[in-house]
Amino acid sequence: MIPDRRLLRNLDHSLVFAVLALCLIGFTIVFSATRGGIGPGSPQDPFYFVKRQVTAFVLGALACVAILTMDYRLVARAPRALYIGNLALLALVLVAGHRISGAQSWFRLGSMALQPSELAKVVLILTLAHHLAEAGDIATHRGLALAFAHAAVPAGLVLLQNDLGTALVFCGITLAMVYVAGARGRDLLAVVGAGVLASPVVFFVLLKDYQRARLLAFLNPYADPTGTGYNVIQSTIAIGSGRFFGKGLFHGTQAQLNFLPAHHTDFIFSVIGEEIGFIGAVVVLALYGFILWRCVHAAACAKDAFGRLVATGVGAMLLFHLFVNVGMTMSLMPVTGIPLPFLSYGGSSLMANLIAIGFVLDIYMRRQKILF
Amino acid sequence: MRDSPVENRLKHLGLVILAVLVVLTSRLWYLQIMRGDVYEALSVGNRVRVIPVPAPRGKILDRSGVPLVTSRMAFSVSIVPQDVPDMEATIARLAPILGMSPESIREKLGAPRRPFDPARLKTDVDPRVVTTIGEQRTDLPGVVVGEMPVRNYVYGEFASHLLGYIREIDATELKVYRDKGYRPGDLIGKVGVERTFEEYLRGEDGGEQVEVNSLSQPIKVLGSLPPVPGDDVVLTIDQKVQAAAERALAEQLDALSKSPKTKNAKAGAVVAMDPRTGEILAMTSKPAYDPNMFVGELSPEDLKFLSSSPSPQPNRVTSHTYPPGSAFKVITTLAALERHKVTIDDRFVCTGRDPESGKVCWIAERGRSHGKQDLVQGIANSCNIVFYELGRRVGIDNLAMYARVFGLGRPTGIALFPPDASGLVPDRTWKRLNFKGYDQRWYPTETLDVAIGQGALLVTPIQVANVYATIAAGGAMHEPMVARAVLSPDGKVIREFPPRGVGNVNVSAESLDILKQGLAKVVSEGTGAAAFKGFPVPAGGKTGTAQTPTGDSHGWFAGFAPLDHPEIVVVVLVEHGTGGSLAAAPVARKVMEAYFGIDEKPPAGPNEAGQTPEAAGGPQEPPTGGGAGPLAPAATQQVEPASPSQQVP
Repeated sequence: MIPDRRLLRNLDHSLVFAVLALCLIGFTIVFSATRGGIGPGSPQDPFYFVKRQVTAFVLGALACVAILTMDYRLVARAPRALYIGNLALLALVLVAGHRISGAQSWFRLGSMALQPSELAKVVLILTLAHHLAEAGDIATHRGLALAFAHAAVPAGLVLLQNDLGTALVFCGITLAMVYVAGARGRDLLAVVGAGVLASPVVFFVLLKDYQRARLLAFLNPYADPTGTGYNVIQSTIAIGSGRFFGKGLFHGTQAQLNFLPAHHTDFIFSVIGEEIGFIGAVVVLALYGFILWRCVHAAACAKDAFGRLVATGVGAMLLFHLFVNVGMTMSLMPVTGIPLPFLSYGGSSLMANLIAIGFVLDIYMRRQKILF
Repeated sequence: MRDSPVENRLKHLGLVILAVLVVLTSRLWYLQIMRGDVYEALSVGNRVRVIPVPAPRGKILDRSGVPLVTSRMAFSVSIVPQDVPDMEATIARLAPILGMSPESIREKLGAPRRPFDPARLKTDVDPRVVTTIGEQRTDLPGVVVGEMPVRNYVYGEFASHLLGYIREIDATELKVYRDKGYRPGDLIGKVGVERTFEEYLRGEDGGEQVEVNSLSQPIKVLGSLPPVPGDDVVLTIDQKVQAAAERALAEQLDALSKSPKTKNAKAGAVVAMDPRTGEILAMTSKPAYDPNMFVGELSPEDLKFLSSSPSPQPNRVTSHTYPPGSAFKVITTLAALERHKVTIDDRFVCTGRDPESGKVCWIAERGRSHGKQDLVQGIANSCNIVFYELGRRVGIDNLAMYARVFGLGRPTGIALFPPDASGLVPDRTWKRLNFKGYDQRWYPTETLDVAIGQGALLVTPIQVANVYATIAAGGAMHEPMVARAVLSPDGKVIREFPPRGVGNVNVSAESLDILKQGLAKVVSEGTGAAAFKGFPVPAGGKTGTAQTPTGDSHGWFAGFAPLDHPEIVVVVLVEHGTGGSLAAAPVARKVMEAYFGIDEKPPAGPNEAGQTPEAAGGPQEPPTGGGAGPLAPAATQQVEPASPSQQVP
């Protein structure tokens, strides 16, 4: 099932290059952030994290190529199986999963830890796109409610894992897809308004203590600089001190001295800001801007509603991650612990994002109806 | 369809993307360009510093919770090279205050560590030194005084080899332990319990992130991570028994080395074990060191002592191997009984010389002989003629097999670093593999040597304890163990180490019973009787006098009590102590006295014999009985100093 040459001519090479460039920057920064260890218990091999990240990249790239060999519409043939499989995985991790820093979101497989909620985002995009493309009455209240219900079940399971950040990503994805599918603007405004009104309930009733503390720390990090505000202060210092040109790769004192917890995962953007400065950070943001534009473009060119919605969902997912994660490192957003796509260390996230990009590439490649 | 609703909606999405990028870029501009200088100042190495807060190491407790090793707070002096404008001047000023040479300070500074981490120069410094540094603070920029927990070995030179000590991790260890979060300069258990249970004792270091001024003095704490204290290890050691073993062996070595005939007796080992579980109750090796000496810097005197001879460093209970001498005769006895080569009714005649091989009994050196002997008497008197005969009947293959069945020739598996030695059980295979030509042959006289615990046979005291514990427990063998449990700092049991049975040796109860009769007789009227005269608990045991090519013979005693339901096995080895009855057995008695809570009094000599009616073999008096006095030391083939028992301290 090698794609036809005519199809390959239609491949969005610029998107491929932009993603590759981001991944290469990611490897470099992950190496810089981890080569001296990441605190007590870190492995001796300075390339340990990079090697694992490159491995995940290779696996993700293979998956990406595999997606290109088939028509993306094939996945729309078994939407129910996909949806149920997704829920089953998320439920299983709740029962048999492994807890890392407060969130029960991991499966242990030997030395690997897999996070099904990363893949779940992509699967939600596919199943919701299918649902919206088939339902067609999204402008009605009932249709809208059904679409939100479709997304709410997996999002709820993720929330049960104590992974608030990822659950919020589900909301972002759903809002964007429902909007592009044709939901009425005022309906969505009502939903968002209701969410805002409900937030005090969420804050005081549903959130765990540490999640509440994180949100409060965001509002005033200096209230408790030794505790929960610590990450935000350190990250802001790191980025600010990078100034225009940065301190140079491997020379970020904040990152290299392990002042910054999780600086190779959720706080990798602080290392970028510190070590390669404003210039480097803007290049990274520009690459994201380009990738997001190509996703929207693929959505605009897609030959069917399903493809358009999938590309929209992927774009929304990446955008939401970008804003929440980068915003968090600069104390614009609360600490929610979601990774920066393609850059943060973490195999599940990298593979899931590459798979998502695979679908966008496939949708764009097959934008014209080609007769064989 | 340029302006279809869908196109419009995607355009809105594009606008949101643009807005996000604008917001993020503006924030970057604000932080990095507009306020960059402020944040740079905050991040520069001399303003924000991480001060490691070492975790207090877990305590080491005896079996009933008596603390043997604790931690106390001590001052340390470190230097932050980045903050020192003129390093040579600072070193020159600091060296006399710390009592260190400038070279050794430079050496400490050169040791690998992470950038901006302070380099620790000296730990456990005197409070007066701290005061002096405080007074000269402005002249000593970059010099920091901190507090850190250091090890406190409560009883000083007490179970030193068992407890071990901690030191800075070295380069080779770092390679192995770096994955577990160790960094240069960290302390790590080097030997003994400190090493074996390192993972429990260590805890997790914390840290404080502080803003400091230009003199490295903290101004403001920005963040802190409290250290997690290490867990406590509860040993199987009984502090009272251990103390008795320490004292008895030290006093014995002291007394022996003052006597001209035993002047080379300077080293020894004692191990006491519960045969029902394999729990080690006491373990001492002399000469020993005070582990407290490893807390600070080792002085030249300390180094000289550590390299003196006999060396205080090895744990003689587990690491050194010795010929077992007559202590091995229990194996020869069991092999012969099990292979039906001897019965309890067999009779032997000792003329002082083995008629077939020409080998002599030790008693012949005194111009005497044992005369008629049965098996039990042969054990009690340690008559070599009897055991040559048994060796001949049994053959080397069976002897070696039974030696191995009882765990000789391989490590006991005791969980105590460094791993214990294997020793050596010689047999035909061993000769074939390790020798060439004619030397590969196994000669019949070699079998006779092994039968009395000589020849190439080598054992560790812990192996001997294991053999006797197995006999005492009716054939049930346990892995010797030193730790019972691990407790969290708040006293909860985190992990228990249950006794580990390694199976039953395939030896009949009848054989063990006959052997025990012999061992009881050793203590009641044989070679151990002098030392155990008046000992109120029925006991069994065996002396040994092991010839060694390097000098005077080693003295052994291995025994257990109470005879019927043994609770304690004691093995004593005195290097170059010349005789087991004289040098080793009295030490074993004192250890048993401590265990049974018997009031300490000097072992009854023959002149006090009347005071000890409860001794099992009471009526048997010294000069009588088969031609050999029960006071005579057990010996193999060598000249025994005919020392009267009164000399025994």
